[in-house]
Amino acid sequence: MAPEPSRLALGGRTGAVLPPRAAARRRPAAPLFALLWRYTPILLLALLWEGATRSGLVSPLVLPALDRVGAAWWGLLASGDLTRNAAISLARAAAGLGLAVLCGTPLGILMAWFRPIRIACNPLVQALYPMPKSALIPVMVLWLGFGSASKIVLILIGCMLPVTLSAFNGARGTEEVLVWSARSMGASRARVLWEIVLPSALPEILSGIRTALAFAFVLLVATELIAARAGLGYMIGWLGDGGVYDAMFAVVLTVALLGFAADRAWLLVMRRGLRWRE
Amino acid sequence: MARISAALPRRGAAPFAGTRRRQDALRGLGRGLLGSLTLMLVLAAWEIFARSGAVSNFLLPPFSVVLARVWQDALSGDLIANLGVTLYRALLGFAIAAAGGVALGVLMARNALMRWFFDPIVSVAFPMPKIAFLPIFMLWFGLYDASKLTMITFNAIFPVITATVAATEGVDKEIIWSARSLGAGERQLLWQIILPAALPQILTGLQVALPVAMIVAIVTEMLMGGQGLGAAMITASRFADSPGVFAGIVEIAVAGLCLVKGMALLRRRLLLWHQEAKEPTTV
Amino acid sequence: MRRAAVLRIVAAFLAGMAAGAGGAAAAPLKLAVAWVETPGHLAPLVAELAKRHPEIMPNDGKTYKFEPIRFRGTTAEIPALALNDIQIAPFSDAAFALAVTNAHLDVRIVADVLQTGRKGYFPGEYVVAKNGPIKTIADIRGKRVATNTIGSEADATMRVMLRRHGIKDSDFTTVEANFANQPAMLEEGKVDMIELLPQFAHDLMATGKYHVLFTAAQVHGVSESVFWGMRADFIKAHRPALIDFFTDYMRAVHWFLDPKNRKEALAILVAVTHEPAQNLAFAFTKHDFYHDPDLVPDIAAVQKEIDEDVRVGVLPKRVVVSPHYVDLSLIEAAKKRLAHGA
Repeated sequence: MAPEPSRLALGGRTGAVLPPRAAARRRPAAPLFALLWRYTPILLLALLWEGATRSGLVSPLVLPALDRVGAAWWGLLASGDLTRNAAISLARAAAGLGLAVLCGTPLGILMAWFRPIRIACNPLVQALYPMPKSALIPVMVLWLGFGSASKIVLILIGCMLPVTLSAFNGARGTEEVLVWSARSMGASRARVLWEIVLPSALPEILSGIRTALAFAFVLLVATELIAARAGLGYMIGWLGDGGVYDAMFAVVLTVALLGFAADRAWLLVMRRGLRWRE
Repeated sequence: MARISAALPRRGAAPFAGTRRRQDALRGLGRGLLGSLTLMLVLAAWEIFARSGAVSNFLLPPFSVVLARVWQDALSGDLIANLGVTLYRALLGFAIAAAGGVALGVLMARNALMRWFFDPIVSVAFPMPKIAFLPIFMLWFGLYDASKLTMITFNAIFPVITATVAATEGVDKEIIWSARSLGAGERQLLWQIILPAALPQILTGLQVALPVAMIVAIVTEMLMGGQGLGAAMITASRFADSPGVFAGIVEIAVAGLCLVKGMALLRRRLLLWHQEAKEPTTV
Repeated sequence: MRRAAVLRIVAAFLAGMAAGAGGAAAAPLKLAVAWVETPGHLAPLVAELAKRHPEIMPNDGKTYKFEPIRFRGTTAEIPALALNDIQIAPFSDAAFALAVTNAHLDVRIVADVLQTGRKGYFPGEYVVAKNGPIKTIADIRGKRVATNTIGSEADATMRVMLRRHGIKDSDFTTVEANFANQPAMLEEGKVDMIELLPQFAHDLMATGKYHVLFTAAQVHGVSESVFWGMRADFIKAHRPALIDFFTDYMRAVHWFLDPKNRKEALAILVAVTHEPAQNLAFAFTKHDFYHDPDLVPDIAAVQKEIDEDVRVGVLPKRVVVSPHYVDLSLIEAAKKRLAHGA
């Protein structure tokens, strides 16, 4: 039986390393300035990067100058290469994650609701979660080739677990009183699932999707680096192979920032979705 | 407020510890058998489907053939060699990430400048697919173990830092104050008060970092070669050796399972005395 | 009333299906042809030639649709052929044997692509730094070697040589990288030995810092290094369209090997590879791989190489290629048609 998840184990994600109170206490009246101040260290790192390459401290072969990387990034964007491959990659991740949510959420809720399903599925879950899903990359390529299908299915498999587990835990936490009163008012089991259990489990599910989102990106990039013909990971590979390092750095940073942006965007969705619930 | 979870069997207060433990053990055994039954059904279905001829054995070799290959690998010493290399990389990277992550996390929690500097870096880097940096690391550190280890450490350190920061900050301030008022020095404070109090959450962070280290070790091997289970799987796929590919999956799955279970056991031992010891659902 | 409407819809649907099936029968046969590098593999050059001189491949787009697809190495093509993602795969001798024994594919050798070590043509070179850590083959133990794909012709040949010197696969580190990137990796010290193709040799050898440690010709003598393999069921199902393709393809190969067309051939090569012309001056000369003008593969050489691979343990199981796994009827039919002035 899967025990209660610790928030931290699911990524410790509350949107920041700092407890929110402390940040708000510091500058309550100037949120924009607080944001800038918060991210200044990153600016410092960027300056350090530029300084190290310009001064010749670090060889440009190993670390291209930041402005060269920026220029390369712009060139890739202008030529359409970046947008085309980014669209392919993001579509794959979205499809895989979407399918995982569609399949995993009902599964998790049913596992919490119906004991035989839980007993049947639990050992599979326990056996599969410690396995590095990236071990399935060669098999996926074997069955589905180098195209998008292998990526989507791998992401589906990799993301199912966090989504199912969080749906399970969320559903388990539904307050019994609500369920009893709904049933006593004549609601069918299905209706109770849909209107009581699902909304109650929603925070946990949304948090699980956040974890799954990070997994989706990792699996996407890993597979595209190893076996692909298109996509951002593939782009990084052939740029690196060809020795075009400034463009390679540009795409790596793009991928990293896309992952970050997706996480933050989902956080916004989470907050909106949960606020609406009140 | 009663929750659905209350309806499910749970370790609660028992009237007599002895009988409860025996009941628990029996129930655990029963559940374990039932659990393995499902697993065995799935494996049996695999075997039957593979042997039915509906799919070419190239695409799906029977489970018995895969098991035979695992056995063969074990006998020939290949399994130990590859598993050893992969585990060595994963565990070494994990150890560095653990030590470094805890140190950095404590520093960040206790020192305002450190926290100001590293907080955005950590919170931006955490959700990034850091595996994307692998080609850069290959450029910087070459194609031997150095780049693999650096990549593993880079990926595994973030959950440790986040957990440590939250844990250290979460230590009850009153305990710290009273320890200080009793004359405890900074070092004593750190090692005897703060770290033990923060231990459960730190261990949770470590439990998240360990599978990450394993995953990254395998992906770097697949991409860069150089012995190890990941490299062996890619070689097998080049040789159209699907029993080899599937054997690799089984070997990696078992290795992952052992590592995770081992970590969970370690956690239970370390936290026997801790009142907050809660098992996380690490993913 | 409703039943009539439903029947009408079903009838329209069936008619649409029939039309689609009929239309599909008239559509050109998709021929995805894999290739690894050029000018060794002529496929991408032929495609470019057909664009400039459509009369050379008149049936392209009509009875067949020729699509070259790039792969990093021959063993990577085995699953693609199994999935029918590609229809024609250029196999190394080892890859062909593996396709038969491991992938259980019923494949046939149908045409030659390139040979090494024949009649003084390019012998296949393995290059190390003159002042590097590798002075003899035995020094390769513990070093890093770049290969285009594990199990490819260059890779398998290298392993045979190493095993003859008592070096097992686990004694050295293999890194997969495109042929094009290997010289840079050698120069940057990332690897200690690479497989050098003639089109990348010019700049590297001009530095004077590198030399050839051994050649593929030293390993196997004359080697039918790469040849086209196809699935037997595919050949059987689409023989007429395939004969059209091979006729046109052979005509194109004749064109490339004809010294009269050399200037334009090189122009095509530059356009396809984006390499500077001086690096490509060797193409279609004796410094290049040997191409059989009638695409006839040396079957005896294939068997000899497979047997040697099995003997040293690079391949797990022996395959007797002739006669079951050989089908030269397509190139014979093509040759006959060309002779009749088709």
